[in-house]
Amino acid sequence: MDATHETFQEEPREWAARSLTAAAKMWCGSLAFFFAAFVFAYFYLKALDLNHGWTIGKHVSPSGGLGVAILAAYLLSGLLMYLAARRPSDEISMGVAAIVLALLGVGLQFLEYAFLGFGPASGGYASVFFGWTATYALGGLWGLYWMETSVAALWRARRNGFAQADPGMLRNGMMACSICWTFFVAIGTIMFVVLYLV
Amino acid sequence: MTAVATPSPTATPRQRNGLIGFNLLTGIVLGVAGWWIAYLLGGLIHGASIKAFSETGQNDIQILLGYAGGVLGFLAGLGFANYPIRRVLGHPPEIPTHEIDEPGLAKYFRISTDHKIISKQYFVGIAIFFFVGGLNAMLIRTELLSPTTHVFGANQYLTIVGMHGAMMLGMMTSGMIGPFANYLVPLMIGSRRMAFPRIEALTFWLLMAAGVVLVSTIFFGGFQTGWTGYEPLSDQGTAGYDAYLGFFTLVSISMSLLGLNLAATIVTMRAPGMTWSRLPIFVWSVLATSMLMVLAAPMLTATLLMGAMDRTADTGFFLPGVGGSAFLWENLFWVFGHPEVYVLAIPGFGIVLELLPVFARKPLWGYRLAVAGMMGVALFSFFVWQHHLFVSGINADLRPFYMLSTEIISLPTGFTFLCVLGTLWRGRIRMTVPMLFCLGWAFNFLFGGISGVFNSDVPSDVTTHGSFFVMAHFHYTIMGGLVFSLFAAIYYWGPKMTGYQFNERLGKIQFWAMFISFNSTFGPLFAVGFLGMPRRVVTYPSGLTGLNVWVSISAFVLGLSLLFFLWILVKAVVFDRIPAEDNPWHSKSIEWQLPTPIPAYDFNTIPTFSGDPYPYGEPVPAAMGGEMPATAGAM
Amino acid sequence: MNTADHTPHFRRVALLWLIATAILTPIVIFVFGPGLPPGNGSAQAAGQVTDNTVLLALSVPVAMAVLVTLGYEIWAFRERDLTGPVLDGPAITGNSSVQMWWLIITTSLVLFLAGFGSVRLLEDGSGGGQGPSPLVNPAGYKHALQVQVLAQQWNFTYRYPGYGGVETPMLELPANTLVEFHVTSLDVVHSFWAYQLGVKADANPGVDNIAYVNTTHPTLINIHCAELCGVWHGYMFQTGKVVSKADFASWIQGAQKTYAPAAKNLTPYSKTYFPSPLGRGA
Repeated sequence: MDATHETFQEEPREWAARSLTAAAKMWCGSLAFFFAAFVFAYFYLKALDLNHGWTIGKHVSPSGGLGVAILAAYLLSGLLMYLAARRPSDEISMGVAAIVLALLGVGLQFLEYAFLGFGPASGGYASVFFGWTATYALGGLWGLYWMETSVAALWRARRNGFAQADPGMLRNGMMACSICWTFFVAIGTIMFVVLYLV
Repeated sequence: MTAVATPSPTATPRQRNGLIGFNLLTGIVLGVAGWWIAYLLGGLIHGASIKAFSETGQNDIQILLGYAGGVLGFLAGLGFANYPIRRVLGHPPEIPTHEIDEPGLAKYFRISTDHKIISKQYFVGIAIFFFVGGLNAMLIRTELLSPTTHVFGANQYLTIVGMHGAMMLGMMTSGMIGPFANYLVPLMIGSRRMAFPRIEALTFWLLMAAGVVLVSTIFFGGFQTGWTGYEPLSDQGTAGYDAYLGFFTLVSISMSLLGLNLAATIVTMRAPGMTWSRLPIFVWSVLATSMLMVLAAPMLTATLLMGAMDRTADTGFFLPGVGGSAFLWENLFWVFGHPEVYVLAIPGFGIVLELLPVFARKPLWGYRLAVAGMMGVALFSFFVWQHHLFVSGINADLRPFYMLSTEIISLPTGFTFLCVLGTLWRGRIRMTVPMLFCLGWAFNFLFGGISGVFNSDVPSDVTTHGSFFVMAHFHYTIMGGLVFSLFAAIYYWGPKMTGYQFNERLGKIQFWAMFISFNSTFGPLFAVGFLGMPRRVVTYPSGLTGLNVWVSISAFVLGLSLLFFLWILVKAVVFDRIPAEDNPWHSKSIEWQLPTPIPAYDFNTIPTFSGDPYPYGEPVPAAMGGEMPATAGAM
Repeated sequence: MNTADHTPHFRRVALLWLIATAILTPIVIFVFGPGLPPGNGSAQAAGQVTDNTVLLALSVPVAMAVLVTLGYEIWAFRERDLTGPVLDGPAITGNSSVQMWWLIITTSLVLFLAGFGSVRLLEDGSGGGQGPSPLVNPAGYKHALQVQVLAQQWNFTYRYPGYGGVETPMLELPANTLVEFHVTSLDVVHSFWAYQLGVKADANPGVDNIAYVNTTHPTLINIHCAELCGVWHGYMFQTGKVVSKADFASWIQGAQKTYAPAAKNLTPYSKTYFPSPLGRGA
């Protein structure tokens, strides 16, 4: 094969776009299995209740109010990210709002730890509660990074009129991000139901 | 639309070749610095809340944070932080491309996003840790030369056993996929690159960091839990167990990213004409493996995080006294652990089925059956995990179900064997070194599979569980299966990858030495297990001395045969340097139609595929139809 | 090979397979079978020997089918001259009837094996640990001799709840008796493996793992820990005994006397024990 660049054929444009969205969907599978471990731990330990250790001490239940606030922040963030990826006219404002709300959700989670009234050593429930919410908050930080990069790229590209960047490519990035983020928020909803309501 | 996907080739900047810059050296320096910074910061956390964290009598927070800081520093030093920082500042995504061949060796010591360079990095990196793991095996067999302790103390011995297991099952998950899938998948599907080249590089460097983390356990007192890390033993383990946690966390992250990358590449980046029914069987096996990696590995990450929290944050996931359960670890670990062993095995199926048509000079027999077999194994592997726990007392009522599901998994595995036998039938079999290793695979894996039936049968498993019989069984499937097919792949694609011929005669000597010593090592271990020797013991009944000495001596020969391979490789690449032909095996698959070595850009134009992936063989005359009629396209 | 080859390869392979199977299967059953583990120390152990014999006998035709075919192919279809031109074989891509028969045969084998294993398991529990509420209760289990196996780092001790919960450092059992083992652990996961009895049950902290065994004749028992349990795992072994009923009666009476001072300090007999804190602290 001849190495002259004149005959060099570029790869089809849609490959990069398609592989990003396909990977985003697969990443949702990874997320599901990751958090499934905590769902399993919750019901398994609750059912076994070895040594009556599911809850140790009194008042081992989180305050509902902060839980609802955290869930609301994530849900709204997910909704805004979902819309931002689908409505190019509002993508920046909605994206920024989604980021701020996600940041609020993560922040409230750490605030909740300070006002819980029980610690990680308070039995099986407390273990799952702390383990799940803390890893979920870490996941939230990762989501924040992803949303930030997607929105920042669009913002910078808009400022210079898409001179260096392909808007289709950037919006595809927003779409991939919104797929994962809405899925992540759905997991958060399940988490709320399991940890606060069940 | 303006092109962002592939900037024009001339615009590719040349990287600097000096010692300063983002390379392995900077990575190591920043890694050490990161370790100390995080380690000292961790000490502060401990000081502030000593009441909450001091129950294990050692500061696990400090050590785990040290590992995290070290790994982050290492990655930043390599330059993995540069692109994310640019992205945070709003720079548009870029896809690295490779149109220029860079001479010299410097490119191997820093991040590369060329899938061919990454695969060579993988090959050498994994080989280093494979030999470390192999050395551990030699030490184990040295200790077992006598029924009492004579070389190592009990703690040292268990650390060696644990390192051997973790090294082989952690690092070798990428042993086949790392070097060969990274190299071959883009070529075979005609895509020039993986979907996410930076993540591809990241998986490699994460794995290297993981290996170093595991070895560092010797500075913290080692770990006594073996590779399975059963709780609550792990929770009482010394700080050396933190190395195990760090190691497997990094491995599991690397595995899921590698799987994600490969699956996304195969699903979305096939060149025109590369339909699902034309996909080479090796790519199918990689796809099946990737699915397992994407789904099963995150489960392990979560499980390890729970274990880490038990040790640092006072939770009690696995501590029965405080509301946890040892069963929880056993369940979660094996939900990951069983798919994991198929992550090791399935690429081997793919390699063997990929190579047989070339050397039997016939199309792959039963293409769809082979695909169904590998996909079936991947699917079923999620439903068999409790066969590791038949006598544990977990859900004992479900044992008949797990017995059935485990035995059902032998059906899709059997498909692979049928395809092997069918492909060889009436072929013109060329007994080259890769072919010998494929046949060795068939022989070993057959006994691995049959011994698995004993383990899957509950009444029989009551005696064999936890004994050397199980150990012999999985060495037959992994060492005899994965490693033999890995060597087939090395001898087959090695000339393409390195550009130099391997000595055929020495290769044959190595095969026979390895094949005979392998069987002589692990065959008698079935008997040792049957006679009642449990796994992972440092002492054993003196009546078993004879068998154990025999096994140890065979193991040393096996070790030598692997060292001999190293010599063959060094001889070919460093001393003889005989340029390899473009297509020495007369293969018809695409990678062999490219020049050796393959240019940086792989293909000048994106290839278009048409026709059968295995276009070997002469048309079948009607006269032969009586016995083995050709039913092209039939299942 | 020339394409007009009419050699009856398939018939030859079938014949070779038949011969190999016919010779090897009886050898496996009658020569290796009686020597298979774990011997006849108990009804369950003898049952496992039967299982192992059946599995081994069935694996002969399967292994031979693959090995004979593989060997024949290597012998008959090998290209002997590798220096000449590269010639291709016939382009056979599959054979649906072979695939169908393979599927039928392997599926029936697998279903038979699973059914066989389940039936054998449900007969007497096969000596394996069955968790706190056993699926399989052998006849007369309500009057079984109860023996609690307490595993801890790094030894086994035994309590006999029928004899005042006395705790002994060694295992003795009466012959011809149904024994109900309650295996549990005080610290980490161990596994109680009484080789000659064909008993293996994991000892989990906080879990009462029940295993049944019908002892037959007096014998010595090699007891090992079969799950990695820490540094001295390799030294966690003992020798137990099955003795005649009369010997057992006098032994347990003696044990009750000998260990009476220690028994006063024992916690009351319980299915599980939770020393506190469990698993925390080295």
